[in-house]
Amino acid sequence: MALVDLCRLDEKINLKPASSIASLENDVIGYSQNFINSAQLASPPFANPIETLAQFNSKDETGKDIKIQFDHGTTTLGFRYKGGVLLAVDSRATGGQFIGSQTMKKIVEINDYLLGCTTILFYAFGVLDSGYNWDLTDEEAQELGRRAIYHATHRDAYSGGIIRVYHISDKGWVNISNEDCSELHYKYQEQKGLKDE
Amino acid sequence: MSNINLQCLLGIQCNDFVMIAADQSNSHSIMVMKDDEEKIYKISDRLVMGVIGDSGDTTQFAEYIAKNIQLYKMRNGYELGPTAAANFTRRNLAEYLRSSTPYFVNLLMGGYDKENGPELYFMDYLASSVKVPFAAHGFGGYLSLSIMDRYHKKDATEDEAYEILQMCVKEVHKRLFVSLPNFQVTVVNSDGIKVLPVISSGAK
Amino acid sequence: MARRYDTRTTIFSPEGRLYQVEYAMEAISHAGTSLGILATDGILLAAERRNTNKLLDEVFFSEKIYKLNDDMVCSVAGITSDANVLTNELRLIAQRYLLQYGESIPCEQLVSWLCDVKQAYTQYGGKRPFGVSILYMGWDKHYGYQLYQSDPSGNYGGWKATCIGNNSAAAVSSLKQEYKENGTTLAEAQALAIKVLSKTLDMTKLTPEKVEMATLTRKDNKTIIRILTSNEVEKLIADFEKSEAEAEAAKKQPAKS
Repeated sequence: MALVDLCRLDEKINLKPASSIASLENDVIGYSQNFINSAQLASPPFANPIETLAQFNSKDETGKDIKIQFDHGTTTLGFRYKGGVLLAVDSRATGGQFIGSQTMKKIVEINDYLLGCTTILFYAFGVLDSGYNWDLTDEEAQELGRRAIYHATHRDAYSGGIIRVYHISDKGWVNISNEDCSELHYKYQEQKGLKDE
Repeated sequence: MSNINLQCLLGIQCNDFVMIAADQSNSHSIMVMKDDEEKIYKISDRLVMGVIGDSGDTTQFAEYIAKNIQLYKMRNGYELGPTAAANFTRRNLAEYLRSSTPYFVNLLMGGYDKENGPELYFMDYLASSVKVPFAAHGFGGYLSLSIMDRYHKKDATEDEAYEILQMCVKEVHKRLFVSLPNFQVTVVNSDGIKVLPVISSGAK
Repeated sequence: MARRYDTRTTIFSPEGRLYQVEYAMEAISHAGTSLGILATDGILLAAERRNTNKLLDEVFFSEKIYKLNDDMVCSVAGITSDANVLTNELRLIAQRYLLQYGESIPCEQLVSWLCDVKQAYTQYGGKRPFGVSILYMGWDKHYGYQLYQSDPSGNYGGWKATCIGNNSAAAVSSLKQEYKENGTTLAEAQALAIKVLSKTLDMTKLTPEKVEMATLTRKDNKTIIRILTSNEVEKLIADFEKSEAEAEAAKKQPAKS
């Protein structure tokens, strides 16, 4: 081996035994374990995640804003109906736009998952299922999504946050509304004929 | 392991009545033993109690409470109101909780008080007791709470309340991974206790 | 003959009497008088105060009238130390009920539970009965204002107006005469109480320091228990004396004319 070292051949040819490949598999397992076990968190594949990730929120070398912003939402729901796809999210982070990218593709990418605490899901599903049918009008669909998120946030922690509703159809996506859920609360209470509880 | 969260209790209180629904499944381990079990107990003329939990505990505790409240009526010639009955029940639960033989039961108590009208109490096996306009126990309850949030109103009629319960049960049938095919429903109003039709998965 | 059957409370005499219990009642007939009157808009208890020595420090709010819980008050006649044990027991029973059911004990239940205690002392060996009769006034949602009386045997009953203690038989008969069956107001009941006490108590003139009076009324769904101040009692006495004088004058007038 001394000769190999001397000729620096090890830098050019992989002479390591097969077992060392196992560490790569371990890496893969380490980063994807959370797909198998939802309780396990994957650590970012680089050091100092806070600083590293912060770079994505700054400007690139040409001075343009890098339009990648991270999802702060705790609940996201989406459903398909005759008028397209409706998305509704709640967010504690009131600053910044939830979806930074202006491309259609980005939105579609998040449309088919539901995030958040498991208990929240229960609550959102309750309202969603009880009000859903394929033939909803656009307004009904928007209100249903908004309601579902509102009731989920109400049951979860009863604290503020913005409820954003997006509508996606063949013409692209539109942001329908961004409302504070505590204001929604009073609005809905009033509709029920209750001042406050 | 207990199946307390795999069972389900729902309760709604409005201006003129209180309505309680309970699933009718009795399961042991992974097997369903029967699906027409009675989990709503009549305690007195205008008081009912829905109980879920370990199956021996539920019957034992419900009967113990029911008989004591009956005894009270015999001794004094008048019934215990829902508030006093709920307080009595909570106290018993709390005392057993701190003994070597605690009862593992969650319950809803609904009654009609001469002065205060209908009342609904939510109680869990840790003996917390809260007076509420609507309530639910079990995983099925989680699914139902937002529906009750959404549709409950104080001036609902009995038919409307029954429809809300139907929606809740429908959601349980759709989203809950446990088989709870039948829900019995009981309503208490100024006239007394009335049993309503069972809500089943076959129905609309 | 009696001596063979009166040493123990638990033994009947051949005539079927429990002498110790009767003696206890006898002890009460020497004690200060207490009376109660039920009115439509409230209820009252009035009691004779015996310890009027001016050297006594006024530690107690009242000497013979005790608050039992939010909705009940009692007045006692008999051996004060025995009465203290019983009022303590009454308060315990009331609080136990409150703890168990979360609401005030209905009046008759409290009386009945205490009477079980009193009765036990006439039956179990080695005990002597409590030398105390008690008047209870209270309110509950089942029967509204109520007045009860219990004696050392453990008997109790509900009354519209009644009296215990010294000269109580005379007081009861004058209450029977004066009590308006339907529609006695609390103000009328107060006047009546003073009138009956002045006749019953062994003294020429009634004074505020000799009389203790408490009223129980309901306002805004709450029970209000009030012990009258000596000024208020004084006024009641003055009103009574005035009406007595008028009645006396009216009696003399026709004789003159």
